[in-house]
Amino acid sequence: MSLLDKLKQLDYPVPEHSMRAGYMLGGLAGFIFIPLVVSGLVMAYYGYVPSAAHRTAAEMAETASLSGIRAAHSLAADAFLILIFLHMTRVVLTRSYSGARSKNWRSGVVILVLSALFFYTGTALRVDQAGYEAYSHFEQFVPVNKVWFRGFHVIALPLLLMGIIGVHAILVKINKISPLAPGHEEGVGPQSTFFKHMRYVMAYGLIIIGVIHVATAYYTPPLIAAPIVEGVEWTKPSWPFLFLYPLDTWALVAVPVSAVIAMLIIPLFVNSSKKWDFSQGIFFLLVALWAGLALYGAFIHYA
Amino acid sequence: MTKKLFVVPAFVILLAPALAFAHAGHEHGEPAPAVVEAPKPAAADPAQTRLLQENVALKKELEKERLNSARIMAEKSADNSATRSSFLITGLLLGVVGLVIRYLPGGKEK
Repeated sequence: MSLLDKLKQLDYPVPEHSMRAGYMLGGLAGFIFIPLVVSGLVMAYYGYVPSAAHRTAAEMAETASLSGIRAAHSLAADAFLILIFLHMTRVVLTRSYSGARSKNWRSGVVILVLSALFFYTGTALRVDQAGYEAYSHFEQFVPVNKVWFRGFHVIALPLLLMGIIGVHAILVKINKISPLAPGHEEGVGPQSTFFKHMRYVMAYGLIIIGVIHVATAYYTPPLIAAPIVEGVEWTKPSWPFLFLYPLDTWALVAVPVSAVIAMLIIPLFVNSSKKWDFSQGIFFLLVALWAGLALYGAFIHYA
Repeated sequence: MTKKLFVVPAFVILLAPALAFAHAGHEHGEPAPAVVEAPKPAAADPAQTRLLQENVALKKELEKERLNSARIMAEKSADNSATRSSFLITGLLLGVVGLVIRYLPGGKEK
């Protein structure tokens, strides 16, 4: 079978509602992953020497073209996590994790965890005071030198993430695009096709990339110019991890691990006969806790 | 087979810069020279002693200033980051509210 025939097989029928933006959020996250990898590779070409990493980052920030790529990488990482978060919210609202689709949900949780680690290790690669503090917290629990830590961000995590995104996409193909929420009957209108769905995903994705491209002209990712001071905690984590700031040492691990376990068991509590079920309650409770702790963390200061 | 001949090297070339971790411990440039301790003053000349004490005090003051400046820069960055985070999280919560309204059971979605 030729490659063209194999590609044609992918153009299978999908429900008409898959043309709605809410059903494209996951695909959009996958699409944004591409510029994220490309901009990351360009920066990886710039090299890495641990003792000179701060100077290298400063040089990048001061070089017009590299500064733009650095900004695009940072904004694309934000967009990637935001899209994953909104995609999960839509999945919870339509309870698209019942039956065989529980595997889709669980692979999605793994994608979220890997993406969060990806974001975290990227923050630490800034190698300024904020990066040092992020790295030293990580090192507390996982003793790893800076070179391996960088290898984790630029090799292990992208490959792992690509693999699990592939598994997630195959599961979507096997279990089909999620249906409408319980209680909403599928329309009898014409079916669409997967390629048409992907064309819309790419169109919306290009709009997002365009917005990121324009934003790079106005946004510079932070880089603290002062040399690192060890043994202090003067900075705060980035937005996905700001919820950790008010927490004590043991809770830094216990809270995220508990949250991940809670997310993995969400499909066990789905009940399509109810208007709202416990599975949705768990998710929105986690969102409230995360946002509450993070907003609290934004206002407090440790001496 | 021919396809693999192209795909594998292309993959390795693309990822080559990321393989920098293979150079663990290897850094460019000359090694830093060993620190040689300055000889202690032979005689206790009062003027020289005073100058040395002043020098030590100034160095301490300079170090304090350096730390203070680093702290101010780090805290300013933390404040900026917290403001940006608050905006992003609030925006995200608004997005969640939007999705809840859109996909509310019994809501608009038909």
